Amino acid sequence: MPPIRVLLLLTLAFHGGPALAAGKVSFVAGQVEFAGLEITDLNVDWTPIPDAPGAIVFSAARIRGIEATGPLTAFALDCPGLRIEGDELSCERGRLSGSLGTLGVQDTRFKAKRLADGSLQLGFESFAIAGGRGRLDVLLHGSKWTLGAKLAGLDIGRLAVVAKPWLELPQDLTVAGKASGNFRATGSGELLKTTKLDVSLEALDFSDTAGALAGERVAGTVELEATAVDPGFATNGRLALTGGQAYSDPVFLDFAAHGAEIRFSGTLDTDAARLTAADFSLDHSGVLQASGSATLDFRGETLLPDARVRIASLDVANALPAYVQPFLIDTGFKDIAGSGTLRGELDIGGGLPTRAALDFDAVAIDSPTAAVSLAGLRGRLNWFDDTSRTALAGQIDDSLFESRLAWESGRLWGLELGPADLPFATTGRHFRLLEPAILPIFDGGLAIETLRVRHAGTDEMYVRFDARILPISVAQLSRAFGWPEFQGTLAGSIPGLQLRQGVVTLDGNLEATVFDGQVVVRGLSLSDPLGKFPRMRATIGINDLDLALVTQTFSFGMITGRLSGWIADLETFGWMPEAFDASLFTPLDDRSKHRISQRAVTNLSSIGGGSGGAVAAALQGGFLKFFDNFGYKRLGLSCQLANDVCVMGGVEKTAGGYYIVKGAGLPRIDVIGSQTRVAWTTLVRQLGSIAESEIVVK
Amino acid sequence: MFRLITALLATFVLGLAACVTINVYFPAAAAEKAADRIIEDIWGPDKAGKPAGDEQSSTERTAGEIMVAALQDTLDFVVPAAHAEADIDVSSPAIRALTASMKARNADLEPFFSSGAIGLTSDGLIEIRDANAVPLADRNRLRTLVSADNSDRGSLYREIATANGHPEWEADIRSTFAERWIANARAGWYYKSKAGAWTQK
Repeated sequence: MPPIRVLLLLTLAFHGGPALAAGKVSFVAGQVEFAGLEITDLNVDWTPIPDAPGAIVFSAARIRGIEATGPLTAFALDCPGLRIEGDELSCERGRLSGSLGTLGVQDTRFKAKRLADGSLQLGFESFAIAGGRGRLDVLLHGSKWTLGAKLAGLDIGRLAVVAKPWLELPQDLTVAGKASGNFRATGSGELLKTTKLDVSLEALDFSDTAGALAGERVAGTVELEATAVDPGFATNGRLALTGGQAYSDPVFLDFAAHGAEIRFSGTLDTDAARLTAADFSLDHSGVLQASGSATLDFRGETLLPDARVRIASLDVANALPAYVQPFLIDTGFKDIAGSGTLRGELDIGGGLPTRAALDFDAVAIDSPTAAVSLAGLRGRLNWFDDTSRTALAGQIDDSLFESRLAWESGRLWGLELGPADLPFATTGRHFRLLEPAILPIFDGGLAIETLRVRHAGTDEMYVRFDARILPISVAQLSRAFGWPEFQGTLAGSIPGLQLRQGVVTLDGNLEATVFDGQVVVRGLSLSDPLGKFPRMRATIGINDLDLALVTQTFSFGMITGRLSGWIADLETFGWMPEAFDASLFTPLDDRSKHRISQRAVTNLSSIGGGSGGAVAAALQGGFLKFFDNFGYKRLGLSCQLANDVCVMGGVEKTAGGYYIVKGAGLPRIDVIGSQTRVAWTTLVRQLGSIAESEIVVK
Repeated sequence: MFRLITALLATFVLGLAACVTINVYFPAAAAEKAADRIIEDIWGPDKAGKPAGDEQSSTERTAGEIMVAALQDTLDFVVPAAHAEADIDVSSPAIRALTASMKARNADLEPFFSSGAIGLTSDGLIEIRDANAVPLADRNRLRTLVSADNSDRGSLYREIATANGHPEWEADIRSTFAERWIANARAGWYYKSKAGAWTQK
C-alpha cells in the first residue's frame, strides 16, 4: 500500500520530533536514514507554544526508499495547529505538498490525530491520485491499518501505473479511460485483509498490440468485496457493462445494444491468478441468461478452463451473431441467422466443452451461403465429448446419449424440405443417425438408410450416406434450380455416398429414372462440396429418354422419339462446365414415332450455325408452311468441350457439315450443321435465348 | 576495387540463379505476364502513376545490377527456347470465376490495404497486419474477407497450374504471384518478407 509507506513519514513527524519544551527548534540534516528511508535535506521546525497549539513544519528535498511510489521530491508537511493534550497529539488545518512519486503532485489540507493508544488518524481533503482527486482517510494502529477513499476523475491509464506494484497488466495491453468511486480496505502491515470497492467506469479503452483483445468506450460499474482467507480471498462482486464495445478475437460484443451483468461469489487465488466462482449469474440482455459455477484462469492458456452452466434462456436471433457466427467465419455458415430459444446445460472442462444438453423450442436457422434453412426446429440435443462419453458409458441411461430433433420445414440448396424427425447420437465430432428416416423433398423425398459423420469440421472429415430417392416431380426440381420446366418424376438410389479427404464419391452409380428413361451417373467425384467453387467430375449415361416429355413444356419446340447418349468426362467448376465429351442421339433401335415441330427445327438449325431466322422464313414460306411438324429418321448432337470451345457434330457427316436432324418421309427436312467449332459462351447464350424466346411458328 | 569484386561475385551468383529461374519446364516470364494481367484485372490499373510492376525502372540501377541485367539478357539470348514456346493460359472458366470473385471483393479490401490493416505475404496470400487499425465492429468482417480471398487465391494458383496441364507448377505459380502482387502493390501498402517483417511500399 503506497499511502501506508508515505504516511510513515507523517508518523515520523509526530513521533520523531525532538522533545524540547520551549522556543523554536530546528532540526536540519543533509542526509538521514530512518525506517528504510533515505531522506535528503531534511528540515524540521517545531515551535511549541505552552497551553496553545504549536506549529511544526517538516520538509525534505528528496525521500527515497518507497518502492511503491518511487522517490518523493519537494516534500512538505505543514502543521500550524499542533495540539498536545496528555498523550494525545493532533494537527488541525495541516497541509501536505510535494511530488509523491507515482502518486503525483499533492497539495491538500489534512487532519491528523495520534491517540493515547498509539493509533493515528489521518484525513486528506483533496488527495490527488492518477489524475483524479478525492477524500482519503487512513487509520493506523500498530501494524493494522484502514484505508477509505472516495475518488473521482481517475485516469485509468495512470491508475494502472500507480497500481503496477500490486496489479500488473499484460505488457502489451494499453488502457485508458476515466473511473470514479469508493474504496475501502483494511490490512496489517503488507497484508490486505478486506477490501470493498464500488467503481464506475467511463469511456474505458483497452487494446493489445495484436488487436485480438480490445474495448472502446466501455462504460459500467464494478462492485467487489473481498476478505482474506488462506489462500487468497473470499470474494463476491458484480460487473455491469452498459455501454461501449468489446472485441476478444473473434467475439464482438456491443454493450450499448445488449448490456451485460455478471454477479459472482467465490474464491480468488491471487498467487495462481484464478477465480473459482462457486456461483455466478450472467444476464447478457436480450441474448443469454445463464448461471452456474466457473473457474477463470487469468494467467493460463484458456480464460475459462472449467464451468457448469445452466442456460435459462438463449435467444437464438441475438446469440448467433454474437457467439456463433464469428467461429464459423471460414465456413459456408458464416452468415447463419435464426430465431427461437434454447435452454439447457453446458459443461466445460480443460477449456473445452465436455457436455451439452440443449432443448430447442421453435428455433429457426437460415444460412444463405450454405443454402440451408430450417424452421420449427424442436427437440433435444445431447452431446458429449469423446472422453466423457467413454467415462459415462454404462453409468447413465443410454437414452441420455441420444438426441432427437424435428423440424417443420426447411430448404437445402433450393430444395424444399418437408417435416422430418431425426433420432441421432452425437459424440465429439461424430454423428450417427440411429434409425432410417424419411427426409421429404417437394412431393417425394429421400429415404435415408445410413447417415454417419466422423471428424466433422476437420481435414479427416468422413461422411457416409445411403438413401433411396422417393419419386420427386421434376417440374418442381426444375423450378428450384432455375431450369426450364421439365416434366416427369425423378426416382432412384444414392448408394454409398462418401465424403473422404474433402471429396464426395459414390460406391456405385447414381441411378435415376427420369423422362421415362434412365440416367446413370458414374465415377462421380465432388471436391470442396460446401465451398464457393465445388469441382465435380462424372460421366453421365442417358438411356432411352422420351423426348416428348423432355420438350413438352419447354419452349424449344416439340420433338417425339427417344434419346440416348452420354456426357463423358464431365468436369465442372462452381457448377459451370469446363470440359466434357457429350453426345445425344436417337438410339439406332428406336421404333417409336419420330416427329419434330417447325419450331424445334428452327432452334436446332440455329445451334448448328445456320440462321434460325432464315430457316424460320423458309419454313413459313412456300408449301412447308402447311406442315406443323415433320418426320425424321435420326437426330443427334455432339459437343466436345475443351478450352471454352465446343467441337460440334451430329448423327452423321455430310458434305460441308453434319446432320443434326436427318429427315424421313415427305416433305423431308434435314437440319445440317456447318460450324464445327463454337465458342461455349456463344452456345450457352443461344440455348438460353431459345429457352426464353417466344417465336410462334404457325 | 572491393565494390567491383562484390559486384562480380554478385553477378556470378545471380547469374547462376538466373540460369535456375529460367527454367525450361516452368515458363517464369510468361507466368509473370499472366500474373500481371490477372492482378491488373483484380486491382484495376494503378491510377497513382508509375506503371504497375516494374519497380526497378523507376529507381536508379547500380553498376552491379546493370551487369546482372546484362548477363540475364545474354542468358535469355543463349537459351531463348527456355521460354520462347511455353506460355501460360489463364482463360479457363475456373480462373475467370476466381478472378471475378476476387475482383468483386477488391472494393471491400482496398481500404484495408491502404490503412495498413492488411498486407501481402511472401506466399501469395494476404494477412491481417494491424487489427487495431480496424474499428471493433469491422474486425470480423475483415477476417471474413481475408479468409475468403485467401481461399480464392489458393484455388487460383491451383487452377492455373491445372489449366496448363501441370498441377506440379502450383508452387511456382504461387511464388510468381507472391512476387507480382507485391510488385504491383500501390505505394503505401504493406508486404511481408519471407523472414516475417512487414515493409511499407
